[in-house]
Amino acid sequence: MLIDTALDFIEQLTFWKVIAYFWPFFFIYIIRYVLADIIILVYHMPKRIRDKALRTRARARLFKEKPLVSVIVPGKNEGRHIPKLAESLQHQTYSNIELVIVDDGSDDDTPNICRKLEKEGKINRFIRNNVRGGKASAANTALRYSKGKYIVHIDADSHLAHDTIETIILPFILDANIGAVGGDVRVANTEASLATSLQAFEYLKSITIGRTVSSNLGILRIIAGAHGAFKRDVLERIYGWDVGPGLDGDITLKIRKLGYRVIHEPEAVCYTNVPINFSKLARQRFRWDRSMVRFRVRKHKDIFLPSKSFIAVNFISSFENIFFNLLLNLKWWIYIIQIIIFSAQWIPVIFFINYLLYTMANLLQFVVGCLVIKDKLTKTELKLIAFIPLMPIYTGLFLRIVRTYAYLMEFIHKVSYHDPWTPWKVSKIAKKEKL
Amino acid sequence: MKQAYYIVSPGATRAPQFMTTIELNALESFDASNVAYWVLDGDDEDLPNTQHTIRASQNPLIYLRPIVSLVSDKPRNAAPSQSDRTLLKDEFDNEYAKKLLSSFHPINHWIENLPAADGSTDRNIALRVLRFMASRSKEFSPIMTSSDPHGFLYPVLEPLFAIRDIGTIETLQYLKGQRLLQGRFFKQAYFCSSCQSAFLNFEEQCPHCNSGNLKIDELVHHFKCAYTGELSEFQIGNHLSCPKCEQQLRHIGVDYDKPSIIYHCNDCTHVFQDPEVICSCYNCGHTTSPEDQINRTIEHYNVTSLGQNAAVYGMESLFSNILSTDLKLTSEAVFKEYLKLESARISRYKLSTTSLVLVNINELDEIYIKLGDKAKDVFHELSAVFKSILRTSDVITAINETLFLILMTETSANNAERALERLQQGVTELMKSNLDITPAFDTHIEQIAANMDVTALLDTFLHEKSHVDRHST
Repeated sequence: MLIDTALDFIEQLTFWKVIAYFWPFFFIYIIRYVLADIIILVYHMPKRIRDKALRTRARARLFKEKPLVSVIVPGKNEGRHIPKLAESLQHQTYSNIELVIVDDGSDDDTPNICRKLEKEGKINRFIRNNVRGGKASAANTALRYSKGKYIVHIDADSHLAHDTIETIILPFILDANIGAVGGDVRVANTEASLATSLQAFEYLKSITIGRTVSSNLGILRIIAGAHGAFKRDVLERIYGWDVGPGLDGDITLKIRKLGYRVIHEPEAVCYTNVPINFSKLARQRFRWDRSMVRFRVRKHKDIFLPSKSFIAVNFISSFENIFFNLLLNLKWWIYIIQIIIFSAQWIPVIFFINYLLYTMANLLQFVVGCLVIKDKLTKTELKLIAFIPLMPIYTGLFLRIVRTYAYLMEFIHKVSYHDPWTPWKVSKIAKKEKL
Repeated sequence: MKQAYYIVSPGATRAPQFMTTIELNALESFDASNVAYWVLDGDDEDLPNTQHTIRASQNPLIYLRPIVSLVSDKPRNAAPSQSDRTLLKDEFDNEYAKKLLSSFHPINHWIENLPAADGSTDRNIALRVLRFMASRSKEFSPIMTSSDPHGFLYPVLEPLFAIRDIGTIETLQYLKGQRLLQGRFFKQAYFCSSCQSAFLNFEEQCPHCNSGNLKIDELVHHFKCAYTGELSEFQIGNHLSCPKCEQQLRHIGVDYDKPSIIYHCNDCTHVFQDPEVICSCYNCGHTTSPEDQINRTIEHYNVTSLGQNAAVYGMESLFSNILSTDLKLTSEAVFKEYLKLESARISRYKLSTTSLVLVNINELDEIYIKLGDKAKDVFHELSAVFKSILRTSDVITAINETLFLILMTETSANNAERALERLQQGVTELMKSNLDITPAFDTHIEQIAANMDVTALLDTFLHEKSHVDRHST
């Protein structure tokens, strides 16, 4: 039935009709993602091979100088994750590490667990704030009481591969002009549910491939809060993090504005636990997406205005972000309306063909992703290939609806100022001061 | 006719002319039956010793008598008086001396009502303290002091104790344990676990190097820019200014707060929030953590009605005293040792059962109050009832005058129940026929098991008992 209709449909197609029916795929998806894959294949990977000797030398220098690296972990009610994290730090290939935990007003067993670990010497410093101040202030407290030349910020519920610290610090040695390095974030609980498997695939696309490409193009715009490394003096120049949410993107922009390079290091791997069901996932994305509006469009609008601090890459970095996320999200709805109005009789066929196209593109991305990860590829990640047929529905429908809703709410109501993750006293001031 | 006597000691000034005098060293051989009160020279540096000499006498007619000390000036530092009364020399004349006779009458009357004292009973410090307190019939309150290493004094009671005697506090607690005194909360205090001194220094230390050389600062969080740092970083002149955004901090809670406190060790640069607390004694230098020091409740004390009777008739006539001679009553500590052994034995061989019996005879202390000296005879009969029911292998201890613990070896709960019934029957019969009192019993039988906690058991037993008492009243 569908096949027959599809054949009829294909028969009447001309070049212009193909463009008219599938323009989002050819003009946007192909340009953005498939081109990205090509950049990886022809630029990133050969460069890695060329730089091999350089990297070996840098590594030798790192191990000779052995600068102190502070791993800082701000968080609330994360106590149960800390012992495992402390354990994973003791098995790092790089050994001059200090662990600083800041408890942002936990109301569970966290202080007891951490005090015990501090006594046992598994945590170097544990600062307990009785009053919650929000993620930014907790991170700043950790910065204030850490001593390392490099600061690695990670989330409590994540753990690191055994060579992560060494790999994430290496770029600082390679290029003194690098201010911050983002580490790769992969999903730890991939096999927990359908939702986590799909997220594992998504992380592979958006972080491993996406950020590696942005990094190669020089337009990386976010250092994940779950896994990022900073030069201490750079952080001190900007006095640490500003009031969140979305503080990760915010601090990355501030570092770029100082003229530092910000890069992504796909081989420094951190595993994190992601929301286990779709409703929790929707809530998480709602929080993430709306912060985009606040920081890109409101707080850092100066990046688009010609001024002394105007830097072209920064402009492109932010523009790319707003363009692809904000405007292209709109485009999707325009496309749907267009199909409904002009080609109502072909809807099932157009949907089916789109689905095939996107699935094939996903397959290509998966292969490229695996190439980037190379020797750090796990069996669990390889098995993700089975989920490719579901990806167009996950990214095309689920995530898009959440995102549209988040953008609308933020533009209309400025909901991020009421974020329950930030204490109301801080939000109140942030809103008043138009931060 | 009673009169006041002025005690002449080596350092004392001349007695007022109207007074009869007596040498201090002639005191023991003196017939004190017509003494109303002793008058001492309060200016004498040796006053504490003189007072102690009087109070240390074993003759109740001497040590129980009120003491009045005369001073030229009211003491400036208001050191609490250890006498019953302190007066200015100028105001103490013949008239005043007569007035005091009547005001001390109740005490002297109480002393006269003591059964013919044979002297031997009053050797016991606990009884002497009890008699002294009962004769004064008032509440004895402690004071905090730096003049004594124990930190607390019951001023009027102190002369009863030799300078290095066992503590006043311990004696009072013992009497309270016997239900002869009742306490009213005054203060909680820590004492050195090695020398009982109350002078302890609590010091915060660096957990790394144990140095006490610390700098303590408050953490400040500026809401607007999320900067956190120590208070000293924000202080510019008399106001607080944020080092990150240079804005002035105005109101705590509105634009900034202080989420925690940070310690810096000045010796090893360690930064921490959870200092070790160490406690050292000024007196003996013993150093330990605070939870290892002794925590005691210091109380005001009153004599109970049971105590009033024990004060008059002597503590030997208390039931537990009679039981302990008639029936080899073991001390609580020894009893607990037996119990530990028995529970170890039972859990090791698992062949037999042993029962622990708790029995409280509610009206037992009333016998004492009703019968006074004659209670002794009833108690001897009661202890005969106990003796007839217990076997030689049973171990018994008295927690206080009415509560007994009995360890019945090789006895099942059923058999223990039967023995207990017989005990109740015997005691009821005796009290009913002699005194027309029907005693009420609280009982509990516990099978001995491994690691049993007798203290917890007693606590629940007493708790339930008080619960029942409250409901029945």
